[in-house]
Amino acid sequence: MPTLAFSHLRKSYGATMALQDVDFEVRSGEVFGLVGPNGAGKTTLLRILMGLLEPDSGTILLDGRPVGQADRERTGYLPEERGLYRKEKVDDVLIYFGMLKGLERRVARRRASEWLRRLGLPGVGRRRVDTLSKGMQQMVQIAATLLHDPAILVLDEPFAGLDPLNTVLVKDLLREMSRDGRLVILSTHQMPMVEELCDRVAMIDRGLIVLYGELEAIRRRQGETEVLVLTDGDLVSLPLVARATREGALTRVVLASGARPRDLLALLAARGNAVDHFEVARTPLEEIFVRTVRTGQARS
Amino acid sequence: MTRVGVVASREFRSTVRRRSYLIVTFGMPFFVALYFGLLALVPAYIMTREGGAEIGLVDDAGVLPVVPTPPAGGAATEEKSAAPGPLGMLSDRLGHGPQAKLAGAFLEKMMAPSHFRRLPDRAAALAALRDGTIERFFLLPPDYMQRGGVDSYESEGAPAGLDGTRGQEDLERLLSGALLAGRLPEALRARAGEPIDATQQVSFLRRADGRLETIDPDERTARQLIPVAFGIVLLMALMTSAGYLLQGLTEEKENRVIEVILTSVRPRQLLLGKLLGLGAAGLLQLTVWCSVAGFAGAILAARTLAYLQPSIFAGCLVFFVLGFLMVGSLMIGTGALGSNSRESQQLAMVWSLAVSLPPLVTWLVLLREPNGVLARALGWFPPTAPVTMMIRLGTGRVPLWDVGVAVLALVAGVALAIRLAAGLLGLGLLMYGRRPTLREIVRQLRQG
Repeated sequence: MPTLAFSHLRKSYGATMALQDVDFEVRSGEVFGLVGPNGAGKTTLLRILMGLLEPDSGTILLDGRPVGQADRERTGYLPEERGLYRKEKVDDVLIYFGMLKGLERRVARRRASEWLRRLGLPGVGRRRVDTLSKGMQQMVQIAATLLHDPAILVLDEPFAGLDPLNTVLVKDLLREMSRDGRLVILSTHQMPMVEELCDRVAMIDRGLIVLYGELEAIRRRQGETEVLVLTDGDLVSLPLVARATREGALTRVVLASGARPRDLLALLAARGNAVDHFEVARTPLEEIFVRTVRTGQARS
Repeated sequence: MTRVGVVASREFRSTVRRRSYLIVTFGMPFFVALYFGLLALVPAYIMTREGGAEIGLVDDAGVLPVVPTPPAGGAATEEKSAAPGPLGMLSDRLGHGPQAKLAGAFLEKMMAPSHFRRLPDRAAALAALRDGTIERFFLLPPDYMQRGGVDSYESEGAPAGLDGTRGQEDLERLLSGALLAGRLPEALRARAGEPIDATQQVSFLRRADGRLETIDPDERTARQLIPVAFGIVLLMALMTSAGYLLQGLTEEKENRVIEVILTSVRPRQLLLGKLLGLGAAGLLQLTVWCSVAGFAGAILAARTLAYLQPSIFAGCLVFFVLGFLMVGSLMIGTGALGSNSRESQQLAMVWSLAVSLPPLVTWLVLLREPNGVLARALGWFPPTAPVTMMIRLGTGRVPLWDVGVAVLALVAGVALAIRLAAGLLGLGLLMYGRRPTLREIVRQLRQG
């Protein structure tokens, strides 16, 4: 199973440390989320991966060997801002990018047409890029990224400017790509997308990896245990409960340290309280993200 | 197709489709033709309006031969000055094509001798001036032989410039013939009228080895002018191409296309591709200009090019291409460091000055001493080599080994320039909104 390993990467711009000993791994067949606040070092990391910047030290290995130009040619890179020639026709731009990745003109033309059709943009090829909406331009950019059938996908904010329909289309596409065994790195600020798509994540803050691993494991590690309960019993007075707040008909209960949801359920049953709804609530990734960044800021 | 080829092809196609390129390429010859056409046609129109530049002439000094009494009702007789010598010579050089015929007819019209209308006295001449029959007249006063002065009268609306000047020259020729008539033998009189006949002139050149060779002075001028023209064309090509190039680079940088491109091609490949594509667009532009400028070509270029030795032409071409590659690379490299389009242009222009100023300031020395210390220093120093060597080659006195050294030095310069420029390009293109510091530039170049 191909693996992309970032090992002890360091990069500084003068006195500013953009990356400090960054160390993580991305596996094929998964959608890997790279999250972090603005200026955290995500773009620097992606630019090093794409060979646009040289690290001060550290390596990026693909299956144990340093990533080279040949690997980069098998990579599809979607930059955060739209990298398209605004005054040229969509077909011309796509064919040019395809040919830069080694496709023959004929093949690039055919694939451009196929991808535009698949992404819901048939007939757009003859139009100039600057006549398209923001969302359509983003879809063209996505087509340009996928045109040469890349084995590695590096996507920086791929959902920016997309309407809900296109968002679903791209999400399905990314799932399909990872199922096909491709290595997919998704860098975004949209936490719900990460929760929905990613198997594992790395959170980067001020050049440091502050969270890394399976999404569920991170949640378990970082999140407090919460349950949503609909009961006739008094929850606040229970020893297992740290605090409780009303959320409509339900009560959101934050359990005391060490207490498990099943302990609360057993206690309510033992006390003869009626329980009409009992749901373990997952801490949103966004909350974990904000808490982690604030803790880091407070520490520094 | 290689990556360099892909970039070059795209660069060429996008450049030749630019509106500004099309306007400059096809509009320039049109505007130049219009400008020179107007310059030439206005005097021609004025002459046509004047009815063959008829000029009044009153001879109160009795210098000119007595002419028969004019027919009844006519107060004037006509005199025509001799055809000027250079016209016949120029006609020879125009060749026989349709453009040459057109140019010849035009020149004949321009250089046709003045028609003098003899008028009996000042009053008749003033009357002719008043009623518009003539626009100017000359009066030879009674004391002309003593003073040599000729009075000139012209109406307020008479055109100044070429027409008046040529009328006076023709009058001088007429007077000179009249004054010498009967005083000198006919053959001597003809020679005194035209002491040097340029069509019969033979010039000799003494070679360094002592041999004497006949030379055509026009050929010599052409041989020196054509390399200078190459130098000017090189500078023009650099200026226009660099403009398109930097405009394109700034666009790619601003809309982040460059990030996508640089994941597929190395900065050096990108640089070479852009240079080749734009060089081809520049050559196409020059070809269009040369083709459209057929009229001027019939008069000057076609004949001048016939004088050009193939070896000098080939030499100029080599230095043109190498010069374009070297200076173009440096312009792209430094231009990429600019944080906006204007700053990029300013940074890049430094190179065009560095390349052109030294040889253009010293070109007289280069022509006089093409193998002197200064000529060799500038000719072997890559940045100044292209223009310097073109000027030196024009003298036809530069030894082959000397040219070889200059070519080798320039090839090395091109390789170094591409290397440096690729490093700067890689650094500058990923910097947004600010210029890299000197330290960053040095570090980048060291890494490269």
